Amino acid sequence: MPEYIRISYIQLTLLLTGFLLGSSAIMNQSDTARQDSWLAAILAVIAGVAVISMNVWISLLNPGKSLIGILKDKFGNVFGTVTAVLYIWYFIHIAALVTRELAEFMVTTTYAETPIIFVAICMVLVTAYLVRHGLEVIARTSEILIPLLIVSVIIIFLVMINLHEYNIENLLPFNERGLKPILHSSFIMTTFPYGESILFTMIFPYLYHRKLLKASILGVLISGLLILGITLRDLMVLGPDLISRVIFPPHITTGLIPNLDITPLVEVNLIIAGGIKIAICIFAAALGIAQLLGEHDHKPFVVPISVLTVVLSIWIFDDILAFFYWINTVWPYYSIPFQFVIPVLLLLMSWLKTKQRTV
Amino acid sequence: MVIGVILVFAILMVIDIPYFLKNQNFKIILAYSFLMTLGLALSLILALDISITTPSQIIESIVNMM
Repeated sequence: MPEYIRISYIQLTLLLTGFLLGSSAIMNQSDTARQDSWLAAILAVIAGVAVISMNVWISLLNPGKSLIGILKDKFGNVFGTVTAVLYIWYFIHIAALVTRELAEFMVTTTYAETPIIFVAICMVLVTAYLVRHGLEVIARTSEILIPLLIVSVIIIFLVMINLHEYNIENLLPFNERGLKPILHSSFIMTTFPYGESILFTMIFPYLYHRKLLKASILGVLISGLLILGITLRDLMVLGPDLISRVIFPPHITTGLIPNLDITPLVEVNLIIAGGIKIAICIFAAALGIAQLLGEHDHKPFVVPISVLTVVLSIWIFDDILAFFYWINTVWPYYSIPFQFVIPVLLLLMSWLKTKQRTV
Repeated sequence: MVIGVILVFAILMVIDIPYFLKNQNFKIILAYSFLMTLGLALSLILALDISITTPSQIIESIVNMM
């Protein structure tokens, strides 16, 4: 049985909110749905609630076991270990992708002369320090910083209303190209970020409170509401045509405000949420390796995983266009086994085992 | 550049040495060494600007096959 970490109900909600907002706060993931992307965002939240419920349920059916333990228990020692190693790779990969996106945003918008590797190293260095101090410190940091993120998103939204920048006609005509692009877009948004919440099955066994499901769903709903707000804001201000042409729509949206530079607020969003997401990914990967070796301390693996995160973030893509192409075309399909197929199998196997015990 | 990368890795390993001296666990030392060697090898490949197939390309070809 793991030692329970003292994380409150609200800290878990904010941790999940930060993780899910991660890099989604600055990206345009729904350009295939164009003016209907707000509907895709709503559908993705509904799917996100289902996904997080499934992940919580897996943890509740396997008390005291993390994803690594559940995989070894359900799939056997050999196949379970192979799947666990693949999951650890997946966690490091997510950390690397978020680091690259964050670094690309900084270099593209603000620090044009700064080498991208320097930004990536700075970000991962801070998060590695955070992870070394454990999950409680990550949770407390998110408790302080995530409310600031929520406030900054609301501030940008309200400033745009005051400036009468919103054009409701940008949302029309409704359902012009049918349901298929909307569903495709909501699928992409489900895999990035909601499906990534499978990572929390590494954390759930360490939390002891009865409101696990409620706190998790609340986290998904808060982040979903913020992503919907950001999508609607960018759509009504920029319109679907311009959104499909720009890399970071929120940066362009805030840049339209005359005599007031609130672009740093967008950067703050990214640094806070992106930092929390990288920290959780590194923590899950380090804990996963420790558990595979039969240990409980994740600390010795924080530095090597942080190093791999930085190296991978630079190595995987040549430029930002390749990055966005890959995220929109390859990532959703690559994620299906990790986010849906294996978790559904684990849920079924756990449920059948529990049912057998009760009969 | 290569010397810089090796120096950075040496500093990072020096930070972790006290932990390994305190808890002499062979499995942890082995896993740590493997991950750090992998990190160092990839860093040197990046520093020397050697072009090798990236994981994204491999994943993309697997996804395209399906």
